[in-house]
Amino acid sequence: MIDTLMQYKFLQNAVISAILASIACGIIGPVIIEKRLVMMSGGIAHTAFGGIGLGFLLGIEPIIGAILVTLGAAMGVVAIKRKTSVNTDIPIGIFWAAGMSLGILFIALSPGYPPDMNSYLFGDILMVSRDNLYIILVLDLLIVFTVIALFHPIKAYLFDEEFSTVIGIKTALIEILLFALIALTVVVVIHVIGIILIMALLTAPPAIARMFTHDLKRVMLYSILLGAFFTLSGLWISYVLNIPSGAAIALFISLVYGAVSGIRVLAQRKR
Amino acid sequence: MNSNTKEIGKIGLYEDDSDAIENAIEVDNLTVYYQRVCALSNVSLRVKDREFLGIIGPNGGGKSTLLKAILGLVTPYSGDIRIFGKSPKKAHGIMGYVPQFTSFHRDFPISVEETVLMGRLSGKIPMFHKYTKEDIDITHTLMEKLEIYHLRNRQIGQLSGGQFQRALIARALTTRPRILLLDEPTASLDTEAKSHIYSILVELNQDMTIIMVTHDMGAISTHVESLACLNRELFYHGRSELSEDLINAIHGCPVDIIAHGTIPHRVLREHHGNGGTSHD
Repeated sequence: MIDTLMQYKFLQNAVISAILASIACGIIGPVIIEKRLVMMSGGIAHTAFGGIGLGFLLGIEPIIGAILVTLGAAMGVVAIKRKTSVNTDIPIGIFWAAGMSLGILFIALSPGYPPDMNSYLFGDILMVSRDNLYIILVLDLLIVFTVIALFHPIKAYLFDEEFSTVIGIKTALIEILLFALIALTVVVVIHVIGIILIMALLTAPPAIARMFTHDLKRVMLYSILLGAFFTLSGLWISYVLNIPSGAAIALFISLVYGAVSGIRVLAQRKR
Repeated sequence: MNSNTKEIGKIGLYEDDSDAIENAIEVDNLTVYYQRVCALSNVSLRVKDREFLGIIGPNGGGKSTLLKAILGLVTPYSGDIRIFGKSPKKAHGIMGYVPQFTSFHRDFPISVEETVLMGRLSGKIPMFHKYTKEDIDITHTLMEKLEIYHLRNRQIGQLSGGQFQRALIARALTTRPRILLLDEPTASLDTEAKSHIYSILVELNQDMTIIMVTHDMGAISTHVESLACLNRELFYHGRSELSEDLINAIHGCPVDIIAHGTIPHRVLREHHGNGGTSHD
């Protein structure tokens, strides 16, 4: 595989985008699981499909459409989170379906032959172009910079929002920023694993990482490494078995997560 | 002190506003709605500097809501709150908050020391923030005082309830507050842990005002100096000693506990059938 990697540009792009996706997911994944935002993030992720549809309809780069729409969706979710006191799952669930449906509607309205949407839904890491790579790189840098710059207030917000507000931190702003970063992360990951499979790469690495450390910084670091391991292994599996990369990565993640959890339960029982 | 401060129902009468001691907190005609549910109705109270106030009342009676309104976490529908003359949202640093410790996700990847240090964060959006040596010294001193220093590297889930509660108190104290507000600080703690917490609070009360939401009538009878009884409305506010006034006032504020305090002995019990109260 190494030889072919050196030979083919598209494979290089695939490897680079896998690593970039792992970095974004490794940083934002812990935010999502510690703040219990899995459902909300799922909602944001699925509206990306609407954004891609919009991109095709307007004749712009679909990824740009996805950035705009997921950012809008993230702000919508923040609004739902603040206004709904009881059960946010219901409005988020509806949001989720509406986002997907908009994508289908926009594609149907687009002139000409309908594009192949499978690569967006399930990921096609081998389709990452140089231009895509640059967009992903910029988004990644934005995510990394923001989280490093605001690490302490972000940690405070995640751990205890009310206390943070009382000591004067603008938690509302931190929240908006984090949701925007979730939206950008979704966009970074679309090509690697696809809209439908994103949640696997966002949740499993931090879930495994936090079994081994009690330090948020390390949870993020380990999540990045685990994410890179998962995506690159998945890529290799898809290459060897000739199956779609998104499915290969997501299945590999599920397998490892199941195994690690199982071993942990057994180990605890022994004690 | 505030021997004559009392307020019954919606009548806002303060007989000792001229008292020389400064008011730490002034709440006037506070009404709070959650969506369309009225959580607090026309509540007025004064808390003197260095008072130890206990807030009691039934679940859903608005105890935590009052605390959160004072802290600026809940926006009132109407009314006014002043913290040493400032509005709650401008009173950062004056108030130390100890939230209900049962509401935490105790599996959060954070150590005891990091938790306490959090109180030293300052600024609205602190960029590239680093804790200074002074921050760390203050934190360590407080942790030693509250006997949790030896636990500093533990993940918070590995603490007992009482230890975690002390960590939260230490965190609130690192902000050097003038008022400490605690939401059920002894809920689900054993007797020993409870009395440890109370001894800490009594000592802290030498230097600061303490406001504590509680269900623990034992504490009310021994440690707390004044009482506020909330059931959507403020039913009683005054000294926590058995008196005709207290018994009359607490009418309609169902407190279903009989407390055997040391000195003075107080009995607070549920009353039925009084037509004068409006709650349901």
